[in-house]
Amino acid sequence: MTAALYYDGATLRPRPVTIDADAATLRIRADEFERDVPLASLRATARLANVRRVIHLPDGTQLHCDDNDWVDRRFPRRGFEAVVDRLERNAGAVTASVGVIAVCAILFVTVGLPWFAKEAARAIPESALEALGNQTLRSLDATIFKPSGLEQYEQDRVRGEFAEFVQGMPDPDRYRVVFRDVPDVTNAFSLPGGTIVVTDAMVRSLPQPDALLAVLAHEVGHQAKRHVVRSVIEASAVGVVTALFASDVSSASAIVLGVPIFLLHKHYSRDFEQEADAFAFDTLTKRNISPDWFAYALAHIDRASLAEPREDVDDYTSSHPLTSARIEAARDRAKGFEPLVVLNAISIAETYGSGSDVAAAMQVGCWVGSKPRSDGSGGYRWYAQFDREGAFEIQFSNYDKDNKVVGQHSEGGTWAVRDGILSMRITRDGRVAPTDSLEAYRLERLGDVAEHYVSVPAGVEYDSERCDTVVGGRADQSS
Amino acid sequence: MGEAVGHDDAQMGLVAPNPAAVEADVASCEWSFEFRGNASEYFRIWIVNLALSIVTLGVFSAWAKVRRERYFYGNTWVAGAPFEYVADPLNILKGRIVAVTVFALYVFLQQVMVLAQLALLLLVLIATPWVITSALRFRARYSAWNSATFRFAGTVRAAVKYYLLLGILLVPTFGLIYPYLRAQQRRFMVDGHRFGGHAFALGATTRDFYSIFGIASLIVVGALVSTFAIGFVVGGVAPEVVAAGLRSRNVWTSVVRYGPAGVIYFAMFFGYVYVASRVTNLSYNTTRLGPHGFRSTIRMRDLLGIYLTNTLAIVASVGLLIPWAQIRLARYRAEHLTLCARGDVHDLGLEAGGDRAAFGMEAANIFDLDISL
Repeated sequence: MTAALYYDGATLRPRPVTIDADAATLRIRADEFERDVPLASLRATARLANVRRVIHLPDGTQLHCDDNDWVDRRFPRRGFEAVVDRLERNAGAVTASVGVIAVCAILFVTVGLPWFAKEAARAIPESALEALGNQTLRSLDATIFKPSGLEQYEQDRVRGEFAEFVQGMPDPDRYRVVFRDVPDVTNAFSLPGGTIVVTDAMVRSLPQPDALLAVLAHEVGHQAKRHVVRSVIEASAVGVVTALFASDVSSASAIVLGVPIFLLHKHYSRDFEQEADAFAFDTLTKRNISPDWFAYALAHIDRASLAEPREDVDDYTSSHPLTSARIEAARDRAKGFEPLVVLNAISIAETYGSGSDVAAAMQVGCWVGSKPRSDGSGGYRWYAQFDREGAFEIQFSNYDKDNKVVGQHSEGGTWAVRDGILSMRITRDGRVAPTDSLEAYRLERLGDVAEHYVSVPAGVEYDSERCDTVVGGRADQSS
Repeated sequence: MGEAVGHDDAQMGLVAPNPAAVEADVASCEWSFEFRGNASEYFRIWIVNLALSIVTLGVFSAWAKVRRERYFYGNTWVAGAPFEYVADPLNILKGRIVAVTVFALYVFLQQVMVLAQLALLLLVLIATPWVITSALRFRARYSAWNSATFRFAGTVRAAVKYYLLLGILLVPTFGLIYPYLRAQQRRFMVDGHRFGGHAFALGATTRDFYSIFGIASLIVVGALVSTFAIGFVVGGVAPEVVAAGLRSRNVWTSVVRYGPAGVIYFAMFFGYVYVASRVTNLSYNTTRLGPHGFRSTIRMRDLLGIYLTNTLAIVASVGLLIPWAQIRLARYRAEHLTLCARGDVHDLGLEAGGDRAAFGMEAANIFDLDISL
């Protein structure tokens, strides 16, 4: 027997009653009031802390009772809410809940969500991704992108080198390089569906084919692993899950949710960057291009973006892993390749951590290089000689498929090393008619750019009478 | 509405209130709302339900929500009786599934397709009046006190006027009608509620809202102006400090770069809390339910302190103090709300109302629409 309040369904005024029950009947008693109802026809609310229990009678009247234990005895709850109530009152279950939440949160962030995003991204058909990529490109074209100012042959050169590079990858036709002018942005980025956007500034600042290929290899990594759509899915999922649990946080404090979301997003992008880097190292190695070119390109881009004001960088908030760490990783993978010497407007001492290469370059006196065309139809070589007085001369030779020289021209100018930077200025251009667009590009670059680079293969044939020292670089695939 | 509760010492125990006490108490006019929940008890409920929601991949979250609401309603007392949350979790689960699907689509489109997302946003915007109305209906229908449920009688047509049309008019009027809009929305919400055969009636005038938002704008504009003034003075007197701050990475960097943004953010927060506390007081103090009224005495500085310390506590405890923060806020709100009954509040009658679908409620929750009273 216990006390309760009886609501008659017509007024708000409760009638204090006592209730008692036997196996089949609930007896409600008060002065001048009595009512018996079969227990089976009653429904009681689930137990929750000390919240008042409500027993619903079939005719819409109610009994309100604070005696939880009595109600539980008379209405043994089936179903899981009774279990939930017991868990809520059990210290062990409460402690376990904290653990479960922590473990689930960590698993969700580190395993569950990335896995889900990967699988979901795989399920999206290629055509949908392409449509998405085109759509994105169109809206970017309408807003921040400008048409590329690169000459057609420059674009053709990069496209040609890229097409050659992706040959042998699964589904090479899916990748497409487009050029756009984004002022002051030295970068390349991936859109869904295989489109890689390269900014003019990027092409101009990396005239070395292998350096640009290293950057493109990184973007191909993003494409091959479908990073763009995966990060979209991850961001969406984080948003949905957060919104689900945000109702647990008072609205004024909801802003604190932004912090973990931000960190999470950065964390995922960082993982993707590392994955794309690893992909780039692998493919570059397979194509016999030193991953050191990637380090070079990174250092170059980093320096270009340094010109703009820079946010404080630390490992936790940056979406790209620290540039120095990535350069280090690329260097590691470049072991076994000839060390790279790139001489241009970049301070070599800073890029490579020592000034010894510069010193070596100044002692060399002569560089030799060659560039075979991929279709086996020949290529060109060059010899460059430097004298101690600061003058240089370069001779280019085009050769055909039988390695026979079919054309030659030469250029000359002055060189100087200031602050560890080698500059070459072409003052004399004795050019002969270019034999193809690749060659035309070379001449153009040499003609209008003050700084030039030299990258020379080790072990490549050279004229020992004119050159006695060589600084290494890309291995000649034809030799 | 219905988030706070009053009390009577004779009824503090687990025994049912006795009739004499009820009779004696209705003789007095003032019934303070009272919140009887406590943080440690709610923490256990919260953490267990959260864990269950997670391991059931969100399915249990509907039950968790009902238990959470029942805890807050059931611990909010006024005039000797607690409020009661009576929604069916299954209903909420259905609404939640639909709302989450729409929201997931929305977030996904937001990431990938600006145009499609805009279209969906427009759709959501157009649906807003309906979502708000059905959310209010749902919540009123499943809130009860002394066995009687509330009811919301506002129409979608009216909501279209106050949430959509007035919202569009904000643009050509440069936001000057915003206080008017808020007044109309508040009137729509308050006047639409029914309890015990009576309609709630908001007495606050548009002019009251203009004075609240006027002062709030002064706070925000004042902070903006003084921030810029300080910036000009510092920039004029010691330009090298600003330059050094922008260039290098030291303590000045943070001050110069983020200081102004911080001041402005805090001013906005300040303005928000000012509006929240004043509008709450104004609404309750001018609302009538039949012969009865309310008195709300929330103070801005209290609310500001609670919000700030709650946020700090939540961050510092990695979220573990969320229950404590919620209980604290609920208790403060209850303790500063009083029911001024003229005569016996139990003379109010009962409202009839059919079942309501929960989608509107869940959509309002997940899209973070403000339907608080």
